[in-house]
Amino acid sequence: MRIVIPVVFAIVFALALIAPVSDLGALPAIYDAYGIGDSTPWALLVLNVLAPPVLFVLGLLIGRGRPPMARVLVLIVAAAVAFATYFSVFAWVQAIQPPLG
Amino acid sequence: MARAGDVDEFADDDADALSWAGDEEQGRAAPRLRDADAETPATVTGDVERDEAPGSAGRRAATVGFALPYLVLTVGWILSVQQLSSGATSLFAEVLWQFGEFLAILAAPFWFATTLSLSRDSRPLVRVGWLALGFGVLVPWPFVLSLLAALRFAGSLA
Repeated sequence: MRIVIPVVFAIVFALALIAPVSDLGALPAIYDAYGIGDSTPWALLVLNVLAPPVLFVLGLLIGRGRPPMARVLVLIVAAAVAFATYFSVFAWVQAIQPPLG
Repeated sequence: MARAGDVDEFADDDADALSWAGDEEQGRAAPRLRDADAETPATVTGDVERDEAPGSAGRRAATVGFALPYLVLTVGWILSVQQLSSGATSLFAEVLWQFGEFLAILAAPFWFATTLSLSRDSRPLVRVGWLALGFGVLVPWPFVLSLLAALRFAGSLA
């Protein structure tokens, strides 16, 4: 049980990483194609990629030494925050995007 | 068949049962019965108040104070996911997007419930700190930013 919970949530957090990694790979090229490559929001894109692993580690640390149910609860919250963070950063990227030329 | 002497013997036994050895020396010859005039209910109430865990009133105040802001956050995320669209072309990406939206809506109530559950025995300030941190982290930016854009647009029209 000790290893099952982190493994299951590692998969959930890996799913939370797919969209940020995809954005980091594709968005700079799209910005370049529209001639606004200088305005690529690198900090936000990198923050989006870093958020899921950092939240996963924080969830493991906060849940350490607690009963399994509490660890699951903490990791669900961390996963939910990872997705919420992605959507927030995604909204910021769209908000600060310069007009396409 | 009982004799008259036996009755006196039983009476002496009752007196023994209601007194302790050495009572006479302490001036307590009479059996110690409960004082009928004593205000027992007041004493009981005081004990119950004393049994309450220290800081529980502060924790309760933090819970009540943050309940409405977290409800607002939850509604904000429900409105936020209406603003977002994945633009995904594959079924897997679309399902993943929907799953993420579902979890984003649950983030605020789950943070609130988890904080209440894990800070049951902590100081009130710990609960307040975690609830304040969650309130800061879980701002529904997609809704807030589109609201600001709409207000700016309305302002430019006026």
